[in-house]
Amino acid sequence: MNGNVRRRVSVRVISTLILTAVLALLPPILYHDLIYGKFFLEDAAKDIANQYLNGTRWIHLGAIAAIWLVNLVFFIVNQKKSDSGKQLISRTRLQNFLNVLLIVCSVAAMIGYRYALSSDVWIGLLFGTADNIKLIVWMPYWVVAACGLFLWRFCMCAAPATNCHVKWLLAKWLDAPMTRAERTR
Amino acid sequence: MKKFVLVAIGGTGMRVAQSLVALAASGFLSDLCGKDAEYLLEIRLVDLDIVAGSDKIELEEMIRAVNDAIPQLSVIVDEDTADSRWKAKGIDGMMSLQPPIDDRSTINDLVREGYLSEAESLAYHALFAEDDRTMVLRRGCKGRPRIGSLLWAEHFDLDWSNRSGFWQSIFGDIGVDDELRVMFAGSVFGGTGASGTPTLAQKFVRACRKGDIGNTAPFARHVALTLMLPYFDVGQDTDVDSGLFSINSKMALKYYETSEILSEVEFAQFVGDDRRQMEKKDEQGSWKRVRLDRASRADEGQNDPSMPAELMAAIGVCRYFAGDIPKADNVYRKVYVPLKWSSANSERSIAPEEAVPLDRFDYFPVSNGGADAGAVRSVSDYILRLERFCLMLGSYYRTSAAIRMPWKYRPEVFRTVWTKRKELLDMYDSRIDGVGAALAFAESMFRWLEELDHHGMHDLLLIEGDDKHNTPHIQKAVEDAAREGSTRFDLFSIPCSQITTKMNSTRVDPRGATKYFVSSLMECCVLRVQ
Repeated sequence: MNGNVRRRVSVRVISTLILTAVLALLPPILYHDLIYGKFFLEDAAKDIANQYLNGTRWIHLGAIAAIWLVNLVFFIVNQKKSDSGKQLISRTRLQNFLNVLLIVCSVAAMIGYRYALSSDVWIGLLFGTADNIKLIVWMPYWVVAACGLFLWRFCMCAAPATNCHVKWLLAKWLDAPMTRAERTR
Repeated sequence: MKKFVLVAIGGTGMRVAQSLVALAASGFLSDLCGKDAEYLLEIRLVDLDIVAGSDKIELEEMIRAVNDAIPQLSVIVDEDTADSRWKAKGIDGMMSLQPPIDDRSTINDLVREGYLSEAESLAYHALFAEDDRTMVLRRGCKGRPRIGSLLWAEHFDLDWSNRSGFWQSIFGDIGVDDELRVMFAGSVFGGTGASGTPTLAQKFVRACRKGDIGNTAPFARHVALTLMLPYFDVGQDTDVDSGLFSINSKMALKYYETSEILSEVEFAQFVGDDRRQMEKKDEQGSWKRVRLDRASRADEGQNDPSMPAELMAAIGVCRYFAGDIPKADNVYRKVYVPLKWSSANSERSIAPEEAVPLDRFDYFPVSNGGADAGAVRSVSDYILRLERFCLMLGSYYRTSAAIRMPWKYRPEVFRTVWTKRKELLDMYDSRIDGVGAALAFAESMFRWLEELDHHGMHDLLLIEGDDKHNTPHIQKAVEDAAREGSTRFDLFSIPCSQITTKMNSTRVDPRGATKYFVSSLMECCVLRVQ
């Protein structure tokens, strides 16, 4: 049984780690050119764009890493305690609260960084006023929130500790064979 | 193949048998016999006590509980630990030898005094007082061996020639090349056991050697005796005069010393203990002194609690069955084992030096002669694994199943075994789709453990609570933890969280999920030395 515990834990930890790496590194690369292209061609605007994208990339990475870390701590605690009932309910509530807090903080950190970079009104000065341009330029905010949200739900619903319920269907389908004894016996 | 038969005689014999059943269920006997050893274990009951609630009925219920649970206890859930898994053993056969008595039978009815000659009648009156002659036999001989001795010798002769009878059926499923080990267990101080044990053992050995019916001579080789010396007291207001236990024992021992019985058997063990008052838990859960007198209800049998001395005797029985008899240079020797006393050399007949708590049984090495030396590391672990199992199955998981809460916060193993459903407790308790049979087994074992705990083994079992230190009963503590979902407690060196972690990842076959649940839990309750 120890072997099966190790196997299930390894699968969950590794899948979460891979997803974290993907969510932390890939989105900033993917949206970089898109956002950079929306800034005016003036040197000042491009300079701000570079700093903005560079800063938000690190904030994004840090935020995703922090969310992963918080969930990893809860994973370890859950795995170690392997409890249920009221104890698990209160810990799950705390985990949810901390995840929401981190997501809000990461968006706030990006907004704060933008103000730290330049407290001027950016719309119309550094990039166009169209709604779709605003949506793209502010993409780091909602992408970090979306990535954080997805990672949080993945950690809790697809790859939780083995004392917690796997809710996502695909994860359930993958996990089910690991709790099935061989029928040849 | 090997066959082990315990002939349990009288109330004490029944309770030794209860301890043997528990040790066999804990896997102790299987491990002691060695890897891949195949054997049959039978218990044969000899008693007069036919009243419900007696030791005999309790033993029969215990055996039924173990045997019903065996299908759930025997699944190999993990190939990696298959060799070191808990090999629970049920009882392969059970039969009773009972003289033809009814609720009102007395020795007068059996002797039929009217048919005796004058000389016989005089002798009968000289040997048996009015009190003896009119005592109702339905509750046994009540510490009066003179009554039992009259019954057993005659009854043996009547039954021996019956092919399907009590004695001949012992040989029914074995050949002359198979190993048969027969242990007779009873007290030296009571009534039924004190009279039946030497009489029946001697008659069995001699009848086997004689071989009137079939080739039974080889079966006389391995016959042994377990004789219990006084180890308990009962109240003054009972039919049993426990004040006579000592004198009865001295007389019996004198008889053993002078008769040939000890030289005719292969092995004999005498087990005694400090005499302590016996108490039994009533329906309300409070401990009451054991008393049995004429004021007892007609349907109230002699039901005494299990005591540590019986467990010691059962350990000796297992060792005999497994061929683990103390010997030096291949010669059997007399061993004096002071289990509750520490002394420089525990195997010599020297005065004990210092009393020690009865919290382990490793004062002498337990092995099976070297073939698998080390398979049995500690007798106490076999007892504690039973306790862990009882607590986890009957208290922790049962309480978890009983409380109302969202399914996602229930122990994950429930989802693996039963999938989401409304009335989980009904399912859990069910004998068909749940673990009902294993629960009955756990309850039976826990009753045995609790009685041992109450009568001197608390240092090991830690079951009863203590008002002085504000410690709750262990079942209550575990149930309280389960109600919170907490795993912050240890079950005798195994953290509860370790058990639940393994159980949450247990592998089950959907066709027999509950069997896997029970067997997995058993494996989790085995203390594996790292």
